[in-house]
Amino acid sequence: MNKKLISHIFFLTAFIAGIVIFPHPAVSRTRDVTLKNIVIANSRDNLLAYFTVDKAFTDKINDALLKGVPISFSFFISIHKKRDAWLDKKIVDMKISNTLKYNTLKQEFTIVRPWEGGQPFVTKSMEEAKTMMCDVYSLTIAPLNLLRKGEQYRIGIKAETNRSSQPRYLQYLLLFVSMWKFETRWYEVNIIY
Amino acid sequence: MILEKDMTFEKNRRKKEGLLIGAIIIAVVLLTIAEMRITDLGDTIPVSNAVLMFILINTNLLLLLALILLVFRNLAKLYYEKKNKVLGTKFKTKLIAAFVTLSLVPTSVLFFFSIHFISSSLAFWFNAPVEQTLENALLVGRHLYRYMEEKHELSGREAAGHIVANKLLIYPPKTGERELQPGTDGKNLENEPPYHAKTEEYLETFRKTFHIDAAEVYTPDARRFALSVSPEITASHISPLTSDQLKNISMETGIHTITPNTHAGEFIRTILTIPFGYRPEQAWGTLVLTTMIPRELSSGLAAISKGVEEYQQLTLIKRPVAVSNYIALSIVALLVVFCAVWFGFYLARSITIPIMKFAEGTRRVTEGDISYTIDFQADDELATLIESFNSMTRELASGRTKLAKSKELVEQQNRAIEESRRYMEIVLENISAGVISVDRSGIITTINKAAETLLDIRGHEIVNHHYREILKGEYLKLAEKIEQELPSSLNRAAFPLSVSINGSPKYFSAHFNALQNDSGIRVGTVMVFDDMTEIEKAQRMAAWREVARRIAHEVKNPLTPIKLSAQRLKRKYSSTIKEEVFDQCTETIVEHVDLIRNLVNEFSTFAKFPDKNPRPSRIEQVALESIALYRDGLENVDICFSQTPDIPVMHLDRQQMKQAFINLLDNAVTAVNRNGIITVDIAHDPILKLVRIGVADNGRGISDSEKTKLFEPYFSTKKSGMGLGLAIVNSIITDHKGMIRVKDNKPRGAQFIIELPVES
Repeated sequence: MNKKLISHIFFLTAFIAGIVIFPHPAVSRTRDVTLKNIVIANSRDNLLAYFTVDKAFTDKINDALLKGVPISFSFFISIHKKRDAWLDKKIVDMKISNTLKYNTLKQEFTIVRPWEGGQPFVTKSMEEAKTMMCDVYSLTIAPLNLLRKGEQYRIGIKAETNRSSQPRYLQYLLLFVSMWKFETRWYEVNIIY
Repeated sequence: MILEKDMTFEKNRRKKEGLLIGAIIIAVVLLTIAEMRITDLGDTIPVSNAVLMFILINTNLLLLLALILLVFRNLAKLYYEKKNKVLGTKFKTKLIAAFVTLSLVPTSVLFFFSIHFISSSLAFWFNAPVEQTLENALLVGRHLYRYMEEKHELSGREAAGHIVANKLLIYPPKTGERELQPGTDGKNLENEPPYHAKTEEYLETFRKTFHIDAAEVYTPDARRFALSVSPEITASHISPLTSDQLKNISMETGIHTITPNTHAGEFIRTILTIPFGYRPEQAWGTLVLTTMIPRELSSGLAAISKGVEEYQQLTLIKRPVAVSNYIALSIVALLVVFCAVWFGFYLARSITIPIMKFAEGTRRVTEGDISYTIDFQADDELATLIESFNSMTRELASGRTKLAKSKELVEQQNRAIEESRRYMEIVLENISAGVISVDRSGIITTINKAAETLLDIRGHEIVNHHYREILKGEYLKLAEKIEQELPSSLNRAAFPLSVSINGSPKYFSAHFNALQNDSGIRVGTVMVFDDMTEIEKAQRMAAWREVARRIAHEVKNPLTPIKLSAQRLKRKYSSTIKEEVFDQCTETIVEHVDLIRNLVNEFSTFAKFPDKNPRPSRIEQVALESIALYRDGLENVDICFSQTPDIPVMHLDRQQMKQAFINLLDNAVTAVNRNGIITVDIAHDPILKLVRIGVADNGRGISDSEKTKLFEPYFSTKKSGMGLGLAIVNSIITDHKGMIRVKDNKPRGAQFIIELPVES
């Protein structure tokens, strides 16, 4: 076997493995977006969640927003029932999203929060619109009858940008240039019902 | 064997290919994972399409990487080859440099031109007038909405004031309640016409006055109290607003505008409180004024808005697009450059490898490996060249094989000739006959050992010399005589030769043979001669003995009657005649008869030599006894005796040997004329196993002609003597299986040498 060929293959593989193993600059530049004010509460029938995304908007995003680019955040919520001798059982796995769009003609912001079930919220105030985008409150994450008294549950919440709301040509062009992508870690809250 | 080798090679090749394919697949998978990590395409692009795209990108990337790797590897290789001055490197470098230059220049030009083109195109697309136009169009749209809003605000203010002032907000109470119009202080209004008729009447007037399409009044509990709609639009299009919408009034402006779209067009509905500026929860009611923007106009405004948004979004990706294009261009440029470099390498290799093979081939051929063939596959003119070279080496190899065969044949022939020559030399060296050859001009070409010994000469001294330079005196004359007298047509001649070699007489039987080549041309003469001295001597001796025997027999018989007769005559007639002459004569007869008898006796002794009676004796004692006989009587003759200490005991007939010594000494004494030196020397030669006795004198010597006849009977140089002394000596020595010869003594005189074999 040709030793040179083996060495070439080895170096090529090592090079590619290096790309895979070590974080890419685009990835390493992910902003430090966090979730805060996480509160799990319950109404008479449902388990509710309250949380806020912090530092989600940057100047670039603001700029893009004012140029009519729709911004969408996705929120992932999961509930796992804790088990001692076995893997935790997933009982809820849901995804909701908030979308914000600026109407340059009428100079108003429209926030769509489908999970609320109401009409789109229109406001002229950017701050209000951003707050509406980042705040999730009174979100029904599970009916209480899904839970059992005295059991431990682990609730995970994660937020990330949802690029699917952006125009397609932007998605292709921004394939390697991620401008406003963020993805928080999974925030976990343990509760005993 | 070759098949096995081929199979192993094929196996290795497949293994290599398999490994390469495996590595490429792993690389593609790893790269796909890496890119998936880096970029998130979201949900809009199907996974299969994304994977396909990544695979395509990865393949391109891998190809580029492989190319870069190949090029850099080859560059490094070239550098080291150049450093080590490998053959063909200069040419390779030149080719690569040419290709790089040829590719780099247009690629660079194209690259920078493209960059400039992209930059200018982008700048052109995003130029200021377009942006300004779009902005202006948008501003027009905004103005329209603003204008509508402001118009609603102004007219709304007036309407609200009018409604408050004219107490037009008297509306029926809800079931079970006693409702009062705000501001009426509980005055009963039951007798008033229907509550909203007045209000609607005012709204109608107001709407017409201010050219508003619809005007509505809502009660604080969000019930529509009064409505006036323009005939252009149907009332059903003016849907009642919700409580939330009614209360969502900005405290800063005091109004809130919503713009619902219907199939008739876009409605601009401005909500304000009655009285104007009150907080919604404190207000007496809410006034909503609506103006419809025709569908065409609203669509146009929407299009303007969309266009502006898209344009502005495009400005967002202006830089990324430029960067992406630069990257793509750079990759293409790099690809072109590396392809060119690689192609340069490929072309250089395809040229330099055959050149190197040629160089190697010529080197190998120069070193002698003419069967070397260039193993290189080509499909161009090089193939013809390689075939020509290989054909040349094949021809050379074939020629060399033939040459080798011829050489071998020649060598075999040479060996045979050499063997034959050596055999001839050995024969010549070992035969007893002397062989001398001369060429056509008379130059001596060969002489064998026997000839050297027989003639007592050194071969190297005479070879390549003309015989005229070698022969002197009478021998030269003899040789010239032979040359002249022998007819040229005669190819062979034989005659006896009698010569003296260093004073020793020799008899040779000489044979002359003409040497002729294949064409019959005489190229020289070979002389073969045998030493016939001893045979001649023996023949002569035998002849003389026969003569002596006959003479003795024939002469001796009448001598007795002659002597008796002479004595009888003397006895009978001496007294009678008394003549002195008579007595003298008879006496002379008797005396001479005795003399003759003695002579005959000597002949008889010679002819009938008694048989020898050998006994162990010491030769030196015999010699000394003989010398003793002469020492005392000869005062002026000095006889010297010398001997080596290792003289062995020999079987000798002492009497005969003593006789031989006496005869030799007697001759020597005569030769020195009783005044001189006689030397007797006895030496033992253990190699030849013989005892050599030399008897030398410093007398007058013996001429060469005398030497030849010296040992013949009846030959004497002395005045008195029978000439049988040396013949007897020769006879005695011959009987003892020895040999006697004579040669000149240095500086003068003669020397007799006797060689007697020592019996082991």
